[in-house]
Amino acid sequence: MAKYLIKRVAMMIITLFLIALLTFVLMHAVPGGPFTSDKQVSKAVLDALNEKYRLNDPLWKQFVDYLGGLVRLDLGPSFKYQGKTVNDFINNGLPYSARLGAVTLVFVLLASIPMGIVSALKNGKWQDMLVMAIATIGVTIPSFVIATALIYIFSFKLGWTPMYGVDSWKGYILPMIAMGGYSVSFLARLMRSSLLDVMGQDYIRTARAKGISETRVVVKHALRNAMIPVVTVLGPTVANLLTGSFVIEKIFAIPGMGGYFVNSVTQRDYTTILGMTVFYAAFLIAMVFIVDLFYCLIDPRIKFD
Amino acid sequence: MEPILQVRDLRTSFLTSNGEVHAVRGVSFDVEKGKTLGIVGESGSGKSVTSLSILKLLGTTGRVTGGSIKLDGEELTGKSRREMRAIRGARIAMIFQDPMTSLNPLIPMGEQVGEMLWEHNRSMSKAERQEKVLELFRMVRIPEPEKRLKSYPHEFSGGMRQRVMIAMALACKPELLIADEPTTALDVSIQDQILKLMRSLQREMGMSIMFITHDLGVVAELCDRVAVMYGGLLMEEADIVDIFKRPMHPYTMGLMASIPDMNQDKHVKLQPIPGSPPDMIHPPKGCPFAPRCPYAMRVCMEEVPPYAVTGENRRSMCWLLDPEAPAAGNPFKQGREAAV
Repeated sequence: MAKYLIKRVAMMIITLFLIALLTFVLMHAVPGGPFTSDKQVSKAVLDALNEKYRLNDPLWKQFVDYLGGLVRLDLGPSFKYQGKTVNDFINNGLPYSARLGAVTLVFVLLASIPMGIVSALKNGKWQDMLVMAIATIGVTIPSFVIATALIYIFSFKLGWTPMYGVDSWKGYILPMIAMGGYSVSFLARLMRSSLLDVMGQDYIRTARAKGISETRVVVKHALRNAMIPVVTVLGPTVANLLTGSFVIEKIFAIPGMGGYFVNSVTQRDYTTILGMTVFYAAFLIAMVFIVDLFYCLIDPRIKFD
Repeated sequence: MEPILQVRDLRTSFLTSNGEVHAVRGVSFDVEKGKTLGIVGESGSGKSVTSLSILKLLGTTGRVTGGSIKLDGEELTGKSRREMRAIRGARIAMIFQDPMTSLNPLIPMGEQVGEMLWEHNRSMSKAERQEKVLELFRMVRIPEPEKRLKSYPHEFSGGMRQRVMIAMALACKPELLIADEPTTALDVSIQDQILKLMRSLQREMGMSIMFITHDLGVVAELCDRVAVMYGGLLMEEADIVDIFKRPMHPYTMGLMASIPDMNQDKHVKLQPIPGSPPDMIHPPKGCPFAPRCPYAMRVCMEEVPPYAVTGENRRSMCWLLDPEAPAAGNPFKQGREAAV
């Protein structure tokens, strides 16, 4: 167990290092920099800026310096926003993104898993058709279209929910549906196919031959087995939801992390790009790790190693 | 004595996208109390479907379309789901072919066996149940049963898993045990152990067994009586000694010719039955075995033969046994004339 954990953590650190390195190299490989501008800036100013942010140092030194900061969990100052650090962006944005993400995650789980179960158990009946129709819509229509439609109907026409912001709990409803729609559909389909597969297994026939009720067959013998593939994709899904969606945050004017990330790329804000990428990667890796631990709880065939 | 199980003219179909599969097309047999009936046939003969029909475990696509199934005189075909649940496990238990896939991989063995007891005897306390599971594990000779209660199926070998399946099936002392090829997926040496175990447990508990297999060797070891199935029909039925002494159906003869014999001359080749089983969506008009039968006559293709009584307590479905069948080249007539 301890050996396994050490190995996993070492792997995580190596992965993060490679992600940071790759991002750094790609970022610097593109011509131009954070201070490239349409306006004429005097050479003296440019030199001073480069000097201040140590962009004149050789690249390897810049990278090593960055890694040094990273070890102290210091993601460095933003190149574009005077006096702001990347840590500030995360500290400001993450609570909004994470809160919306958590609400959305609960919604996704509560909607998708029952939908998948009903659909599998009523295979080929109208309930199944209905769920699969909803799931197809959810997977194919982009979130910003759903968001716009929801705002038009529920905020503009019916006036039930605010148009933007998350000042009250009502504000979470529309972004939650728009952001979670894809995951709900995807997980419902996965749950359905997984449960259908399990229900055809020999051990389900054995359970039925014992004379136990069909409800017990499903709950006790089928669901846990059927959850395994769902748990697998849950790691990346959780990471995605909690770190925020640029599109949804933009539409609903939520000051989350997604906005900072996308803006930093267009503005060539080196430290912010790196910081956000490394943060997101760390989050994703951590979630995958937690999922792996969950696996061991669900499936006795999987051991630590 | 009244038989424990009486099946009359059982018909079972499956609805598939290609059409209705007539898996069982009118099968009748009895399982006597305390005895073992072997049902023999190749894949697709309808032998497994017959057993699943008895327990109503046909899934959503299969259904019994006709006939009668009586357990100790009590008709089962009209039973509701709830009534069937009380019978499954408690009065008729079943063991399946593949012990690797027939146990739930995520539930400890002791709990899977215990669930059977829990379902049919809710008044039992948890401690009593655990004690009873231990007793069952000892009965099927699982080594170190206390340790094995909390083990998962993947920690067991195939033979051990099948022992657990047997323990589970016998937990409620069923009147009838249906074993659907319980040894097919096991090594030969393990097969023998399992068969011996089943025989000794049957003697101890006095239950009746319906043993489904494609292996006549296994039948010879365990069964009192044999029913040979082909193409959804019961071709021949006889006591074990009689059928091995003198098979009275060309298909049974074919099956026997394809058993390897240890004492046989090395140069004598095994005789496989040529051809393949019939399409059960459009079952043949006549005898289903006719296209593969070396003795087939014109009438065999036209009409399903009636049963002929071929001796004491035995019958066979073959046109060669008809009083009007030609004697020349007839494997059954020559023998009978010689006997007379």
